[in-house]
Amino acid sequence: MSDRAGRILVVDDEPGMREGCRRILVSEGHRVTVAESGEQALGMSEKGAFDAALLDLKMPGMSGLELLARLRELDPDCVYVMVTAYATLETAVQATRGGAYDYIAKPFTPEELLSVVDKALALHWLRAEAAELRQAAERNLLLVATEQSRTRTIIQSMADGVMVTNREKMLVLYNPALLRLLGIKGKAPELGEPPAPELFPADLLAMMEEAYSEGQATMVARELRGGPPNLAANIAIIRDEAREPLGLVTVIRDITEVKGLQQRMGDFVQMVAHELRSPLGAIAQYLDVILTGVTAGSPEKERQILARCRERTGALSQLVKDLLDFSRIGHLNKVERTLAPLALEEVLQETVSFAAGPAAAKRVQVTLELLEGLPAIEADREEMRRLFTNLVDNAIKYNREGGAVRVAVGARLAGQQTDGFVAVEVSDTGIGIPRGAIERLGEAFYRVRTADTLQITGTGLGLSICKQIIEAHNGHLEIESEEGKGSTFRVLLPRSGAGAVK
Amino acid sequence: MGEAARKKILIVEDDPDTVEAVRLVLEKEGYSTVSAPNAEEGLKKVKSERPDLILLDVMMPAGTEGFHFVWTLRKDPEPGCRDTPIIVLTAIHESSPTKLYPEQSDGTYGPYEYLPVQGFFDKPVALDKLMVEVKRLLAGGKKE
Repeated sequence: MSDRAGRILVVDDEPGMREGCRRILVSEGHRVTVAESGEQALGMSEKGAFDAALLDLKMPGMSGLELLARLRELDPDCVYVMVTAYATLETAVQATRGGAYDYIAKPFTPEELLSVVDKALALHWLRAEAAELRQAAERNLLLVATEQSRTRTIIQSMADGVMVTNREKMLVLYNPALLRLLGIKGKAPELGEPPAPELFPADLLAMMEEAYSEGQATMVARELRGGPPNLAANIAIIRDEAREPLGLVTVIRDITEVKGLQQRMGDFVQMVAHELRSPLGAIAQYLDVILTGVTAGSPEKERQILARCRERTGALSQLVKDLLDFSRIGHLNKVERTLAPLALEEVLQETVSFAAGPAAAKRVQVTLELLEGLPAIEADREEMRRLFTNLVDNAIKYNREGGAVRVAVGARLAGQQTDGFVAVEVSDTGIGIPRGAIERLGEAFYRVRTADTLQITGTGLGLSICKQIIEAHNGHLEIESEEGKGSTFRVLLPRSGAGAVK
Repeated sequence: MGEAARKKILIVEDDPDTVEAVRLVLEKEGYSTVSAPNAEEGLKKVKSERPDLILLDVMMPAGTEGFHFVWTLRKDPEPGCRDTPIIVLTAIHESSPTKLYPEQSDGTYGPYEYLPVQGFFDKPVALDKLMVEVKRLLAGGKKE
């Protein structure tokens, strides 16, 4: 007894047979179509039309066997049962060879008929289910392949090197970045083999060995020796439930830039610490002198010492300010700069008037010469102020008593061709700069140390800041100097429209 | 004090304030002082002034200047100059691997560089301790 209704085709030339089968099958709930000849049956058949069919073997016109063959072409999923009058073994064999599933011999009881139809239907539906499952499996395989392909593309495109080794320590996967970073050229590493010691760095292989044997660790990370490029390896250890290593995922990163940055930061901190030590040491030493009573009874000496201490704390404050400026303008490189058409004359006039105090203290004369034909420039006002203040302050600081500072600006100076630029010259009659020192000016913290400059306090950052400002405005700095005579600092800034400013 | 007044001390140091501070202390104790801002000037002054003791800054610009002074002086042909006792004033002791005197008391040298001087002080200098050491060395004492 089938609990599912099937669509059944009955082909028989005998009307009694047709009706009889139809009634029996319909009473079981199946849907029956009858045909009285092969030709008629063929007209009714098409792919998927019927679940099972009962074909009379002996019919006038087209025989049952011929009909079987042709119906199987039209509707291959249908399950065919031959109805034979003569239950000879021969006909049964013929029928099954022809592709029929079963046969039933006349006369048959309704139960016999239903039984054979049930079996046929069961087979039909089983086959249909199998086909569906197969299709679903194929779709899934396609999905997985696409996923794998996508993942593979991702891994192939990574800038970091990736390498996977399995439980047996054999190479299972790697990407082009790995070869590039490790400098592996020519013969590519073989999958299914352990990473070859001729191709892979020894310390990396040692790290992997360590990772395979570690008890609890899930990651081993270390810098690799050698370079450039400087590399860091990050090994993730995949473990099973028993905490045994299933495999390693090794990622190689290029840390050259990071290391360079760390190095520069480290150097800078060292420099700063060094610059701080001198003034702090001197102040502490002086205070010890007073506190241990060395200068007891000499108030004038003590006043001198304290004044000197005060000067040096001033220098320390300036150092802090300069450091902040230096880091802001130079290292961060994300300064908010407002570029606007700037009237340089104004900035220079301001600078010169602010310098009046320090200049008077040394009886230095500061003059400003605005030559004709001053073209416009685009610049950040604050930075220009800072730049020229530094230069003028230096010109006074390193000057002799009663000396002079000349600030001159124009498109052409002293016959020099400065097309496309505006030139500002700050010249002094000071102690000048020794030949070898000129190249080093502008290095952070560099200060010229001669007998003449000993008493001059400064952070050594002023010129570095000037250079940074000039460079950020796409300008140039020229320095001319003669020891004992004086120096000239020439700032060239592009005119508006002459060049884009950063 | 009379004896001390005959003794002359050379201060080789580039920071003028440190020179002044040390000078004040030394002169209060009755020593006479001369100074030089760098190794080159320092070596000249050893010849011209013949100090009895040298206080040397080993942190001068170009960090090796101090060492250069010591090794050059210790090769000087005149024993009077060559053997002048030197006390090093330094702020780099903690961060430098260079040892400034032999580790073992038997005079053998440790596995690092050795600078042939008679003592060293970290800056800022503890003035009382410095004076004790100066007195001792001028009295002819050798480092134990």
